[in-house]
Amino acid sequence: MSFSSLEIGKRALLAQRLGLDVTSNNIANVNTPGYSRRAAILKETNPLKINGNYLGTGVLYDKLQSFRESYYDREVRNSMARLSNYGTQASFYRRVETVLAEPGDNGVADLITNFFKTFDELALKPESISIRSYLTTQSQTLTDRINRIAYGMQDLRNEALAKVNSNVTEINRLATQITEINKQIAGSGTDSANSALTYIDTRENLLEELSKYVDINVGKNDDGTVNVFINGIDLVTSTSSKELRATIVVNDVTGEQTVRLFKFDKAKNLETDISTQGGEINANLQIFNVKMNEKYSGNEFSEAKDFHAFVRVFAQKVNDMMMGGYGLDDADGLPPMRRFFDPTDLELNAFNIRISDDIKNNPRDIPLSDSAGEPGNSSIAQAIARLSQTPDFFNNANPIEYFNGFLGKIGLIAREAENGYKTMGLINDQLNSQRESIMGVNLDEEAISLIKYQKAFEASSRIVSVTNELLATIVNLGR
Amino acid sequence: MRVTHKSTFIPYQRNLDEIQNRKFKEEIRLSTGKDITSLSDNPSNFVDAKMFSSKIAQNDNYYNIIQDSLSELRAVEESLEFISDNVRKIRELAIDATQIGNSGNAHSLSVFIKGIMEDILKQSNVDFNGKYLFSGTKTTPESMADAPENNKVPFELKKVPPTAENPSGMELVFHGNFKDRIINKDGKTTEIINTKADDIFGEDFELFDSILELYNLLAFKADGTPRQEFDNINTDDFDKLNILQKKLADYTEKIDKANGENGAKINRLELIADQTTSETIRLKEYRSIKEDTDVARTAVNLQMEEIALRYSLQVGSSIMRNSLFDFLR
Repeated sequence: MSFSSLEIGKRALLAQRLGLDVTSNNIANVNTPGYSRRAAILKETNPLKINGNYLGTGVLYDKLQSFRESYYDREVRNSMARLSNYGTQASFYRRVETVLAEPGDNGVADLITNFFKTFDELALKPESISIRSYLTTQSQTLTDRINRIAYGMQDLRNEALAKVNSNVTEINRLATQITEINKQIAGSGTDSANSALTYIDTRENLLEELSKYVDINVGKNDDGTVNVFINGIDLVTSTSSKELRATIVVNDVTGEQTVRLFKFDKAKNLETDISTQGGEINANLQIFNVKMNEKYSGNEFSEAKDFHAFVRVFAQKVNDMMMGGYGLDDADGLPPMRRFFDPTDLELNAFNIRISDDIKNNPRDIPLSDSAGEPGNSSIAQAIARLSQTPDFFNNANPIEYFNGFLGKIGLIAREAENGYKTMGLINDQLNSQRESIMGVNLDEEAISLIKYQKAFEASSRIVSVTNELLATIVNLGR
Repeated sequence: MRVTHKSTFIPYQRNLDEIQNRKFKEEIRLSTGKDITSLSDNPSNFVDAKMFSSKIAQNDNYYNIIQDSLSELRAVEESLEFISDNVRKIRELAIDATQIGNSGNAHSLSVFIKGIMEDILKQSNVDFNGKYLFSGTKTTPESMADAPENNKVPFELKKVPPTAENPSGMELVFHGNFKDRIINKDGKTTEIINTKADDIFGEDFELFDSILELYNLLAFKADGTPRQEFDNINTDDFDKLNILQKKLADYTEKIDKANGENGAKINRLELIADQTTSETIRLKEYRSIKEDTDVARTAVNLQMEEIALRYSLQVGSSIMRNSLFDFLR
C-alpha cells in the first residue's frame, strides 16, 4: 500500500472540480452575447511501469477548449455589414415617404394636377377673379409643399452627416478597443487560457459591432492578434490602430459638398482616403453624397437632384409662358414680363420657389392673355393647362407622369432595401443560429455535465476516504 | 444539428416578429381600406393608382368645364334664335311695306322696325355670368375702352350727323373683336367656345347696315325729311325694299348657320361629357382594383395571422419552460 491512490484521488478531485467550474461558467453565460461554450479537456497522466506492467496514475486537466469557428464569425460579420446597410436604407426611405407625404391625397403630384386643372378652368373663365385668387391659393399650397419637401430632404441629409460622424466615432472607439484586446492576447501567452478565450470572445463581439458600421476584412496573426481592413486599407494592425475622420469636401466649380473618409496615423498625419462597401456608414454616406444631394454631379439616381431639377423646369416653363402675357388691367404695348414664380430662373430651386409678390397681391395681374385689353383672351392659361399633357415636359414625360414615376422609382428602391433587409435578417439569423449550434450553451448538456462532474467528484472523494481507511487499518496493525 | 439554448430562441423570435408584422399590416389595410400603405408595398400599383387619380381629377375638371361651357352655349343658342326670329320679323315687315295696301304705313312700320332693331342690339349685348357673348375676347365692360362711360357694351348704336344716305344719323359701332375663345375640352382636344360677331352680322356688320337702311327708307323721304304718317312710298323705294328683304333673308340664313354650328358644339361637348363620365367610372374601378383593400381576403388573412400568433405564443411558452434542470431534484 502506498500514497499513490491518495495522489490519484487528489488529482481526480482537482480535475472534476475544474470541470464543475467550466460547466458553471457555461451555465452562467448561457445568455451572454458572443459567448462560446467551453469544455475542460482531461487527460490520463503518464502511467508507471511496475513489474513490466503499466499502471495508471490518474487524471490531469489538459486544456480548455472553446467551440468557435472562424468561418461562421466571418460570415456573420459580412451579413451584419449588409444587414445594417439595408436597415439604414430602409429606415431612410420610410422617412422619405413621410417627407413626400406619400401615399396620400395631398402630395406634390396631386397638387400639380390641381395647379394645371385651375388653368383649365381659367381658360374658360379668365375674367373670374375668384378663380384667379383660387389659383394663387392653390399655387401657394404647392410651393409651400415643395419648400417643405426640399427642407425635409435637407434635414435627412444633415441627419445622415451627423450619423456619419457618430459612425466614425464608434469605428475609432471600436478600433482602439480591438487594439487593446490584441495587446492583451499577444501578452497573455499560455498562462491564462481561460482569460485568452474570454478576450477572443470579447474581440469577436467588437468586430461584429464594427461590421455593423463598416464592411471589414479580418486577418489573423500567429500571435493570436488580428488585423482589420476596410476595403483593403488597414484600420487595425495587430497592436496599433489608425484614426478615421469624416471631412466635407467642396467642389470649387459646382459648390457640391460631399463627405469623404480619410485615414490618419497616430501622429495625425493624413495617410489615405477610404471608400466603403457596406455597413451603416456606407448607407449614410450614400444618403449625404448622392440621395439627398441636390447638387450631385454623378450618374446615379439622386432623389434630391431630380426633385430640384423638376421644380426648376416646372417653374421655368410656366414663367416662360407668362412672361409674354398680359393681366386684366395691362395696357397696350410690350408685355409687362411678369413671372408667376420667383425668384429668377438662375436662382430658383425647391428651397426658395414662391409665387411672385405682384401676382400674389393682385390676381388681376396674372398674365393669361396674349394681347392687352382682352379679358376673355385665355390663350396663355390654355397653353399652360396643356403643359400637363406635354410628353417631353421633363425626362421624356409629362409633369404628372414624371412625378408619379419619380415616386414609383423611390418606392422600388425602398422595396429593394426592405427586401434586402428582410433577406439579410433571415440569413443573419440562420448564420447566428448555426453558429449558436456550435458555440452556444445547451442547458441540458450542461446539466448532464454538472451531474457527471458531481458524481466523479463524489467518487474521487470516496477514493481519498477509502485510501484513508486502508491506511488507518495498516497503521493500526502495528499497535 | 445541436440545439442550444439561444439557437431555440433566434428563429422563434424572428418568426414571432414576422407574424406580428404581417398581422399589423393586415390590420392597417382593414382600418384604412387601402392595400398600399407605403410606397414600397407595391410601387407599380401605387404609380398606376396615382395616374388613375390624376386622370380622374382631370376628367372631373373637364366635365365641370364642359358643363359650364354648355350653359354658355345654350345662352348663345337662345340669343341667336331671338336675333334670327327678329331679323325674320323685320324682313316680314319689309315685305309688308311692299304690299299695295300698306304703302301708307311706312312710318309706323319704321317705328316698329326701330324697336325690333333695338331688341336685336340689346340681345347682341347680352352677357352670360358677366361675360359678353358676341364680343370675341373683349368680354367685360372694362375692356370696351372706346365705348361711352355710361354704356360699356360691345354693340353701340351711335348718333352721327345725318347725311343724305343716312338721314337718321344712326350708326353701329362695335367695341369687341373677332377673336376665338378656346378651351381644352379634354386632355388632347380644344374647342372654340364663342360665336363671333362677324359670324352673325357679317364682317362689316352688313346686317345692321341693311336694317338701318330699311329704317331710313321707311322713316325718311328721298329728300331726307322725316316721313309723316300715311306718307306713301314710291316705286324706287319698292325696288329698294325688295333688295333689302332679300338681303335680310340671306342674313337670317347666316345667323341660322351660326346657330347650327353652336348646336354642333353643344352636341360635341355633350358627347365628350358623356364619354368623360363613362371613362371616369372605369378609371375609378381600375383605381379601386389597384389600391383598395379586398376586405374579405384581408379579413381572412388577419384571422390566419391571429391564429398563427396564438399558436406561436403557446409554442414559445413551452420552449421557455422545459430543460433538464426542471426535472432534477
